[in-house]
Amino acid sequence: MKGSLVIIAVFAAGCIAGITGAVTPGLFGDWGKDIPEYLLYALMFLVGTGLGANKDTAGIIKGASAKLLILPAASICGTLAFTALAGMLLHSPDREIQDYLAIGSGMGYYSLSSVLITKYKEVSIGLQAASELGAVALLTNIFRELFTLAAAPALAKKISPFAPVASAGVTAIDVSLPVILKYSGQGMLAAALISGIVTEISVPLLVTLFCSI
Amino acid sequence: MFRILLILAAGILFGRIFRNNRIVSKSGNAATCIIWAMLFFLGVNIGTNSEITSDILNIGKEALVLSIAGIAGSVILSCSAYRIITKKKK
Repeated sequence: MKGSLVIIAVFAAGCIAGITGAVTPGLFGDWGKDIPEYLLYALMFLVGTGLGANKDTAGIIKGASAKLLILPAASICGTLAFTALAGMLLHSPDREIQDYLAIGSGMGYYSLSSVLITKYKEVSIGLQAASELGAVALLTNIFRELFTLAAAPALAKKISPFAPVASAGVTAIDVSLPVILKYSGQGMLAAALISGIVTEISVPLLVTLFCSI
Repeated sequence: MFRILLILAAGILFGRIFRNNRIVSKSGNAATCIIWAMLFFLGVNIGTNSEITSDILNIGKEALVLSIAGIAGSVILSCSAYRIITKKKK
């Protein structure tokens, strides 16, 4: 619980710092906007170090089976169905069902999905509306990551050890991997990596598909 | 993605070689701190994005509903599949 609050608080502090102009990406010079990318590399190295030091890792990877591929497929289908349903219930006059499907296809990959949606939709609905849709996609998929990081302990304990992986979507392979391994156990490594890889490949394909129909 | 997997593999190798080193056992704590830093900068990017801050109530509400629905659908369907798969294994 304490960890979840810290996650929300840190994100909120970043938002406030950005809105007030106390911290801007340009503050650290030209490479300021690349900081998250470098942090991600450092994170992946540390996650790897933890796995390498664990003597069970090799056995866990060997125990992976092709059946695990069903899980990301189910995760993607569930996301698309429920996002479209919720979108229709929102009943916004500016949106069509394929817009919601494109947003859902982001699967937590906020940077890529928002850029792709803005780019592809610009031709059909204009820059202003396309940017707004891209902003909704960005925030929807950021909320997904935030929720996963904050709720992973509860999801793993109350629902299923696979639930944090499902919630994580694409981030099961990177940002959410440490919390998945911590709360669902190291045995979830293969399922998390396979889910992360399959959903990551699906994002550009599905977003493009739903933006073009 | 391949760069990410390559770095992960390099980390695994490093952890394997130095698995008896006390510093390696602290990698989990360091990872948590990095996640905090990443979330902070993510927040900064949102806060400085005028596209979002100018209409935060509408965009935020829509995004919140869509993300909760998406997560729910994903968890319900794939956890059911997970249950079936793991049952068959036994």
